[in-house]
Formats: sequence, structure tokens, C-alpha cells
Amino acid sequence: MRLLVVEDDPRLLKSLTRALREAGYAVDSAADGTEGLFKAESADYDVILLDVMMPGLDGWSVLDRLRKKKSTPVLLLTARGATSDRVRGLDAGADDYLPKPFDLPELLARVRALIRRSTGQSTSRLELGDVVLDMRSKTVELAGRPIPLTPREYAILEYLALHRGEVVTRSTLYEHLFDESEDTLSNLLDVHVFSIRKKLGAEVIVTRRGQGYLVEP
Amino acid sequence: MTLRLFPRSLRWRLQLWLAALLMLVLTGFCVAVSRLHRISEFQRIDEGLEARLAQLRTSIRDGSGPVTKGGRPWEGPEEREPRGRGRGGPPPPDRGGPVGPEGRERGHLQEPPGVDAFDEVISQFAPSQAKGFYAAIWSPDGFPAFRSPLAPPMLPLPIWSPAPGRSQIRTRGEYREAYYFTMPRACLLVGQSLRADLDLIARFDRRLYTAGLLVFGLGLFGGWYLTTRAIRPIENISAAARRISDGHLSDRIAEADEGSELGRLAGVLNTTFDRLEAAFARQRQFTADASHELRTPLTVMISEAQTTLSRPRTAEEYRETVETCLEEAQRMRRLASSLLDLARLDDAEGVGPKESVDLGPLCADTVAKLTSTLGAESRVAIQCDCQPAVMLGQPDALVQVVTNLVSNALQYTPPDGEVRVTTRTEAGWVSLTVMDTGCGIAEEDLPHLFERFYRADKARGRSEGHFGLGLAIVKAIVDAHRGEIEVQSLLGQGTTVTVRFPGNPE
Repeated sequence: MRLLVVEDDPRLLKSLTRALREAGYAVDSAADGTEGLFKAESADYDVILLDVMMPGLDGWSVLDRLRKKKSTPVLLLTARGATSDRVRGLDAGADDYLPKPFDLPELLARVRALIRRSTGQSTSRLELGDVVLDMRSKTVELAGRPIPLTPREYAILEYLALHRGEVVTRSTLYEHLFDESEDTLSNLLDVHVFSIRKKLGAEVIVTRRGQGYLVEP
Repeated sequence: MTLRLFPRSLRWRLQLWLAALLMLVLTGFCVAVSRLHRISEFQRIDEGLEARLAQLRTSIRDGSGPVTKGGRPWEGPEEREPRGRGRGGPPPPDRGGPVGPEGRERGHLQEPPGVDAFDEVISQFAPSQAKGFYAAIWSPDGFPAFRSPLAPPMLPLPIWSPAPGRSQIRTRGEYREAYYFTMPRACLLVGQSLRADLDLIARFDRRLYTAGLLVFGLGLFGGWYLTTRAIRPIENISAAARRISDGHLSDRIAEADEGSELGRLAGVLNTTFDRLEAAFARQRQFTADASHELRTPLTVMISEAQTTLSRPRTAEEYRETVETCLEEAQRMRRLASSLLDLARLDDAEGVGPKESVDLGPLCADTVAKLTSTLGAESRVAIQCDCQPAVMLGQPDALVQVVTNLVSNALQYTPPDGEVRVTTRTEAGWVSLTVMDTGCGIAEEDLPHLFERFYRADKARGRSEGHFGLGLAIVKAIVDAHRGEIEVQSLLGQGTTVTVRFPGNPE
């Protein structure tokens, strides 16, 4: 899952980026509205965390312009916590609203909820036959037995499982699993998929030659 | 206590005053009219009485006079022997004493002594012609000599008083009488019953007072209408003011008539409300900005701490987290102290006790301290030309003014630039000028420069940890010293900030 954080305060931006990366997300950052809008329009993010009060292009304007092109889930972060501000934010097209200062666990839960909702999932448990993913603790069980996966392996499996029945191209996977700061090798993906199959069984991820990967419904 | 008995409502007060005034005026008017009417009625009556009395006098002066049945002629006023009255007559009653039936009998006994003026006059007092008048004549020794038929049974002789040649008037019960004493003190009297006239006067008075009451009622009604009309704009104003105080800050009083006093009052109030609303908006903005500035470091601290605590870390990672938290805490401390400064300056106390300060050395010291703190970090040349400039001020606050202005100048001046600080005394004023060759301030930013949390260079100011309160504090301190502040700036060429304080030459 790849997130974009748009926040004008450099320290908060750094801190949020770090926290989200630790939670297993690929995170891009933007230090103002203009940069944020550019990034949001040029890549497919799973969730955008958007600060409202920014100099220059503020959060409202970014949201307004983004909504003309994309329906990426947006979580507004702001120091303005009045009801009228929340209503305005949600009506402007935001998917959720979190007033500062917030607790990190709440922020992470809201991000997870946004991802679930945007993929049509209602619970945080994903069942693929014998394989069960717990999106809250980011763990995988095979026939009731916990299987340790690396964060990257888990991220690949989670993304494919959330888009069950769809063929996900390698470039889409790249886009959603690696942030802008990472230099990815083209065969890195194959290495991770090989490792997942070894741990959970070969049939869990199907390869469509020349198209991409698939988790069957 | 008396005030509390009086109604509070302006309308009722006006109405009460109007009623009192109207009552006073109308009562005065009615009483005056009634009195004048009465006087004129009595004058009319007296004229009638005196005309008849004059006829009686004339007739007697003509030589004729009443004669008793006994053939004793009564001497007229012309007679030279005042004591020569009837012989063998009864003793005269006391003058002014009641005239008994005997006297009336005498009157009845009198006969017309032939066709002369007296008889003609007397005949006018016959019941058929008298028109309510009656006449009586007393001889000089006080005997009733004549009495007309309509004369009341009790008719005393008037008391003699010296009024030579003039008739006199008396009111006796319901009778009005004019009388005249001839030279030998014989008395002629013509009288009239006042009953009919008094009735007429009373009826007139009743009508007059009824009309007065009617006018009073009309006046009250008109007054109520007028006060209602006059008070309506005031009620509009108070209703609007109530709505505004209930929180509808953008409500205004509908100004009906700009020219009237109340219209002007509404205009003044609306202007006040505009100012208040603007002040409220500024205050709200200030609170929102302050809370935003406080929430950001808090968010960083919470998120850093929670991330770090989520799993075991190396000592180095913990150290980094603690450092970040410390930085944020210090940022909050700076903000808190700036906010505290502003709050204190907004207070009635202002900057605190003032003393005589020489701005010159104070300025030089502050600049020297700033330079040593910044050290090699800043490569901007600071030039100080500080001449003595004595003023009345609070030294710590003035140090803050210099610090804020100079650090601002340094912040926006590129490394090869220059900052010049000058103090001067001219024409009773002390001036402090901070001039830089920095990036300058855009014209649209100039009017907002001293607003709280306003940053001309928004992105940069924020990322470098400036809150946009420095110049607001400077402005507040300068205001507290009754000084002036002026900013001139050219984009790309530099900025000059001039502060002027009233000098203190002692």
C-alpha cells in the first residue's frame, strides 16, 4: 500500500512518514499543496493524508482540484477541529477527518479502514482458502498456524488479496509497494512472490505470463 | 425609593410627564377662563344694578320722593335739614339692622305722589317690570322709607362707609346689591337675586371643565401615539443590539433616516458593531492560529513517541526520538512565551514601570549580543550607528523591540547583505531605524505585517520555526510607549523599519 503525506511542517512530515513506513506502508511526502497535488495526480496512491492549513495552496484547494480527476481516498489532518470544519471537509470530498493532535494508533486504524473501504472489504480478516490474513496485526495464518512473512511479502499478498480476482500488473504492484525513495530491481518482485509461494503453497498466487499476478477468488 | 416607584419605561415616563404638563396647562386655562367669565358676568350684573341705582338717584334729586301714607313727605337728598324727618314716628332701628315686616308694610303703604320722575322710576320695580330687580330706600335716620315688592324679606341697611358721590356694591348671600348714600346719609339700594346667574355660571363652568377633560384625553392619546412613533426606532435599535449580542455578529440596525438623531445614532452603532465584529474575527483567527501552532509540535511529539514505543529500539533511536521531542518542546516554549508577552501587552498593565532609558547604548549592547550569539552563522554585516537617544521606557521591552527587528532583518538578508541600525534624537522624538538590504516585502503584505501570526514569506517562515508574532510584539510594545512604527520596503532592494518614541530630555 502506498500513501502520500502532504504536510507543510517539516518535522511533522518527517515524523509521520517515519511512523507510516514503520507500519509497513510505502510513503511519499510532499511539503506543500502544489507538490502534493502534483504527486497525487501523477501516481495512484491508496490513501492521501492531507494537511488543511498550508501556505499557498491549502488542503481545501488541493482536495477540490484532485476530486476533478481522481477519487483517491483522502484523510484530512488539521488543527481545526470544529464541527463546521469537519462537515466542510467531508462535504468537499474527503473520506475521513482527523483533528490534530491525534494518536498514532487511531491514525493507522483510520488509514486501514480507508483502504478496506476503497477495496470493498468490510472486515480486517481476509480468507483465501486455508490462508487467513489479519490486516490489523499484519499476520498470516495457514490452516490456523501463524506463518512469518517479511513486511514486503505481506504487503504483496495483502494487495493481491484485496484485489482478489483481478490480474494485477507488475507495474501496478511496483507502484503500490515501493515509494519514490526506493530504487527497485525488476526481479525483486519475483523473489518476493517465490518466497510467499514457498511459505504458503504454490497455488496461493497465480502468475499470468505477460500480464501479472492474480489471487483467485 | 422614589425612583423605583417611577416607571422605568421611557414611553411611560414621557406619557406621565405629558399628562402632568397637560393637566397643569389645562387646569390653569380652565380656572382662568372660569374666573374671567365670572368677573365679566358680575360686571354685567353690576352695570345693570348701577344703571337702575343712577335712575333712582336722579329721580330723587329731581325733587320728588317717596311719601308715606300719612302724607309726610320724605326729604330728598337735596334737603338741607338732615334731621328733619317724620314727627311722632317710631324710633329708628339700628342702622344695618334687619328690616322687619313693619318696614315692608311701610313700603307697601307708599303711594306714587303723582306723575313725576320718581314714580316712573319706582314703577319700574313693580313685579311685572322689575326683571328680578328690587329697590329699597332708607331715610337718613335709618328708617326704611321704601321697599319694592320683589325685595327679599331680610334686607338690612348697608353699613355706611365714606365713598362720597359713588355707589357701592355688596353681595349678601345670593343677592347682589348696589347702594348709595346721599349727603344726609339716606340710602338708596337696588338689588337683584343672583340665583339664575349663579346657575348660568355653574353650567358654563361644567361645560368648560368637560371640554378641558376632553382635550386632556385627546392630548394623552396624541402623546401616546407620538411617543410610540418616537420610540419605535429605539426599539429597533435595541432589538438589533440584542440579536447581535446573541451572537449574530453580522446583523446590523436598519438605518431608516440618516438625517434624524436616531438615524445618526444607528449609524454610529453600526460602525461600532463593524469594529467589534472585526475585532472578534481577529480574536478568533488569533485563537485558531495559536492553537494550530501549538497542535503541530504536540502532534509531532505524540507521533514520534508512539512510533518509538511501538517496538524495542536501539539506544540511538531512542536518543533521536528524545531529541525530536525536546526540539518540539522548545518550539512550544518559544510560542508560549510569545503568547504570554502579547497577553501581557494587551493587558491594562502594558509593559510595566517605565524609566529614563538611553536607547543608543541599549541598542548597541543588544546588537552586540545578537552578533555574538549568531557567531559565524550569519555572514551579514551589521553596522551600528547609535547616538544618545534618551526616552521614557521599559528597558526589557525595548531590548525585545531591537532584538525582533534586527533578527527579522538578518533573517531576510542574504549573506553578502548589510543591516544598519541607527538611533537618533530629533525635535523631541527618539528614533530607531533598522535598515537591511534584504529581499524586501511585497506591497500587499505591508498592511498586514503587524498582524499576529502573519508571515509575509509563508512557506519559509513556517519551516524555519517562526510564528509570525515578532512584529506583532514589536507593535504592541511601541504602542505601549506611545510611539509610532513605519515600514518602507522595495522588493529585492531592502526594508527600512523606523520606530519613533516621544523623547525624554531630562
